[in-house]
Amino acid sequence: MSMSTVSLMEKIKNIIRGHSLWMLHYCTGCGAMELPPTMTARFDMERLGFAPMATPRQADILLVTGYLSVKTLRRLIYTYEQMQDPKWVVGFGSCTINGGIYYDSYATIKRLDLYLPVDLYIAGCMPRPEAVINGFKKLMDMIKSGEANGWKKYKENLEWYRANQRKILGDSLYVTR
Amino acid sequence: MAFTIGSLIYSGSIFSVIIYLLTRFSVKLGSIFTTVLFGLYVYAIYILKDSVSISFIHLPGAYNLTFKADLFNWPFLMIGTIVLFVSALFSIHGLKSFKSAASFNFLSVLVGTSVLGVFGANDLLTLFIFWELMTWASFFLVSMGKKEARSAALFFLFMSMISAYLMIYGMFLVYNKVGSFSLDVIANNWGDLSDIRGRLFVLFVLAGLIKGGVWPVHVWLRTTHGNAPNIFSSVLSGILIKFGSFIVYLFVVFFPAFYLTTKGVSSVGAEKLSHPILAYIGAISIMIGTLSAIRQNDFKKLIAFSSVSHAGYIVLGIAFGTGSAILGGLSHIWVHALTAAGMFLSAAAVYYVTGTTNMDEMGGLVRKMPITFTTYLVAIISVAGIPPLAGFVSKWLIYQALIAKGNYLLTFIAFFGSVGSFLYVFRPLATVFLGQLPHKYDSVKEVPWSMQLSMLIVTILTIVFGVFPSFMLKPIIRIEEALSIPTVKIEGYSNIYTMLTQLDMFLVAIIFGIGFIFVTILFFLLAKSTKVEQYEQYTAGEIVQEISTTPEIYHYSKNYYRSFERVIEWAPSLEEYYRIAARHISRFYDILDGIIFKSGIPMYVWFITITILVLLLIRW
Amino acid sequence: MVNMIILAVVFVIGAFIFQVTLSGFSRKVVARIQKRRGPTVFQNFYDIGKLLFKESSISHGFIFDFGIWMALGSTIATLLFMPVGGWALMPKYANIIVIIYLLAVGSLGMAMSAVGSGNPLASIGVSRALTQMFAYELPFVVIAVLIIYLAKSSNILKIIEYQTQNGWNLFSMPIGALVAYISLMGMLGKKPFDTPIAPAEIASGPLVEYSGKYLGFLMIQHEFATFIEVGLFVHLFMGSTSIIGFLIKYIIVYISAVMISSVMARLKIDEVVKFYWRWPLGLAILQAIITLGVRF
Repeated sequence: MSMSTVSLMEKIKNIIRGHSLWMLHYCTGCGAMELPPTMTARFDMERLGFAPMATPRQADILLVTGYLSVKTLRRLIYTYEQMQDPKWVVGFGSCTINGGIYYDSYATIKRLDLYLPVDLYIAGCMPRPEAVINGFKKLMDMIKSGEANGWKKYKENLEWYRANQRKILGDSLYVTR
Repeated sequence: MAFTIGSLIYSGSIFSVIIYLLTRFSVKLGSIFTTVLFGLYVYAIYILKDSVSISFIHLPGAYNLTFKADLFNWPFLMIGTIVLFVSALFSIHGLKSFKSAASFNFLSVLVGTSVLGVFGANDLLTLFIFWELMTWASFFLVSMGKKEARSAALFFLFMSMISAYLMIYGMFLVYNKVGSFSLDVIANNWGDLSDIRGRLFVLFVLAGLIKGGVWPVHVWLRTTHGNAPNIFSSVLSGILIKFGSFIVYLFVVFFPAFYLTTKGVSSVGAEKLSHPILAYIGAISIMIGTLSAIRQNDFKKLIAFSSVSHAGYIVLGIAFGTGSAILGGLSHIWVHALTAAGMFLSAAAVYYVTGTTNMDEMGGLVRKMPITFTTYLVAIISVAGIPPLAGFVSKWLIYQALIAKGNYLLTFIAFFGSVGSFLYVFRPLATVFLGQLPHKYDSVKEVPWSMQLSMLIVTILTIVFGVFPSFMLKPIIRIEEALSIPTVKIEGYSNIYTMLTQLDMFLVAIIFGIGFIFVTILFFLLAKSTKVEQYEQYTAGEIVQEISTTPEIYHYSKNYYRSFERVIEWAPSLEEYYRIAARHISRFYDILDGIIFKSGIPMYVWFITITILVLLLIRW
Repeated sequence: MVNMIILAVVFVIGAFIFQVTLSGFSRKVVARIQKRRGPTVFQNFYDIGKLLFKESSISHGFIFDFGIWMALGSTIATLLFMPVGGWALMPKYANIIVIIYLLAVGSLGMAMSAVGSGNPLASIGVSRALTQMFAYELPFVVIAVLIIYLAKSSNILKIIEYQTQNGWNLFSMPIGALVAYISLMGMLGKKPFDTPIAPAEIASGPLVEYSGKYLGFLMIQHEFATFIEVGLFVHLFMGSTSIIGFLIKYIIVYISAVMISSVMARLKIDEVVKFYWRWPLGLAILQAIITLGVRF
């Protein structure tokens, strides 16, 4: 969707959305360790409008913090589908990009964006809080300009995502609707 | 056609037999006849509104049963017949699977006549006769209920007997002194009764408290309501325990105020009518009822304890003695009759479809039974005393009176009961109606139309009396004016003035409605929401449907207020003390029994000889 | 009539903007206490706006929706009875008992809706919230009744008038003011009394299933309820007729509550009940004895 076709109302909505981002307090891997310093006094994530939320119903961002085992993946997909539109996925650390140090593990997945629509990757092992803040800033800008629309892509290409998910999870994939 | 109480009772007793036979033939037909009869009662009482009607039933012998319907008992008659009508309507379908439906209808009509007889009595003997008729009829009705109903009914009978003996003693005390049972004669001679007034008061008020289910004699309510047939519970709690309040009203307000009025006292103030001890008994009843109701696990036992608490409000209001308190207490009889009927009818409807009153086993029934849910919701909003429903008005009047007099402890306890009632009324709402629906109730349906209709009538009346309280308050204000008790002013349909402030229930309702409609419109302007299955919940990423074969385990209903119960656990229970006392008494008699009967004939003969000797000695 | 409606709309919107800005400011205050910078003052507007503009949301059936309408609708209705300084939309009906009870409709609606979602965590949260309400209402009521009795009216404007003549209740009954302040903390659900919504423990309790506009409505409801509760405290203890004065005192009371809560840890629910019924209730009764003893 290009900028010119977006209506004024949509622009306002996007600006508001970009200022208030609630992330799901859900830690998949070791990368979550970098979040406490990001939240607390030194880096203070809240000043950008980021806040941790307890349930996926309330959250806007799904942070995939580090490696993702296959067992976790099905719960992650379930959780992602419980979140409400618009919603964004942030891949956090090298593991979500290419498997990182678990590149040859049988139990983890290597590329997150085969299974969920990742809007933004924050590379590093681990990414430092500065990098996290930087990534969040980037995400805010993308949302404000209407570029971050992974949730739409997920809906449009649901068949493709489902096929990928099924390939790795088999029958254990649980879909709500 | 002119109705009198006498003719209504005549027709009731004739119809009771006809209805018995009809119900043997067809349950539905019998119940429809009962409903029509009670509908006639409602109509008859309604048209008696502004008249004074005195009537007789001639008995063989010197004594006649005398009845009277005038402004002093009209409110009681009216609300009594309304509740009778509603529960009869409910029973058209509600008696379907009931084993002894014919006897049930027969006895309900007898209870109906006894309601007219007690509230419409013009002398104490008539009152007593119908009081006993009600006791016996309810004894048989209660024993038709669940497994333990027989012992519960016996307990009920035992308590009623105590109250009856107290009353009969009191009656003969009065008769000795005045030479008549007539209420008017007693009221006119009330001033001359000063030497026996104290005893009379204790006897009758205690009898009333037992029937009214007020602490410390409330113990029969739990077992009786817990086991009585569900339809009958609404009548039992709606009217029959109001008999007790009626007696209290007669002796605390009516007799003294009537006497003073006839003696030309222009304003009968609180100093003449207030009975602090009785008011404190009412207050204790509020507390005990509230705290016990919070701990109940059974739907009907919970409502039974809420009745204890509300009987406390009624007694507190009547005994406090100021105009606004008496108005609050008497109007609370209306309010509680309706809300108790609403709560018990919805409990009966739930039992009708699920076959249980245990709150642990249910959940999510609102999906299947919206009308029942609405009835319960409106009833509990009224019970908790939340505007704009009827319960708020009566409680508000009581608060105003208490605050105006500056009675701290009582005000505190009245609020205590009100805030506590949020806790206990919400528990069935959460555990029975809301939450997740267990699979075993997947196929249940809303109850049949007659039950829905009767519940709707209760609901609508509760709302109407709340939004336009003058319908409820005017008849009671009329009583107070006739008794020259300074009362509150009421303007139009809904504007109430007391000493402290004023209240317009209609305005409150309108403002509430505006807020509600505004929000609803805003809600629909925003993006549409998607409805999801009940099991699709936030479960911390765990997929419940796979790990659990019975998803209803995820409904939180057991030990709903466990954390609160933990705080009040140490509190002693009166019922426990009664039980201990009963155990000691029975042990004592066991010992006696062992001495007298178990040790052979010589001992027996010895005791008889001793007894005769003693009797001879005291020259009996 | 038209005048009245315009006034009502202005009042509701004004209260909304004031309270939402203030809660944004309070987040800034908390941040400063924790040596952070904190979000902008308008952060709560962004949050509410974002929630209302969510593209989708979840409904668990009619009761889930109905409870929300009931909660926000009745809270707005309560707000209309609420005086500000010496001004009230309906001066004759600014009755404290009506306000306390109408506010309860909002709680009931929210509780009903939350349990209607069918989530056990929501049910646990509601059971805790009701228990907590039982705990904090009692000491508050003792003090409120004392004030009503002294002012000889349950109309808030009369209570303010009484204080302009006899001085603030804050000074004449300091223990009572302390009790009411602790109760206010419980009403607002500030730490240490945030047991019902404990996010780390029961996933924000009653709010667990709310998303999008539902959550937005509840946030607005919470802001209005805060306005009413804090306003009630200001009227009861620091009553004066000036509107600006009211707002200043309001800010002081609210921000101080936020500051206290930001250095507290959460209590367990039975500890909450025990605490309220031991200390504030005892102190409230003490205050009642003192005040009545002095007068008679």
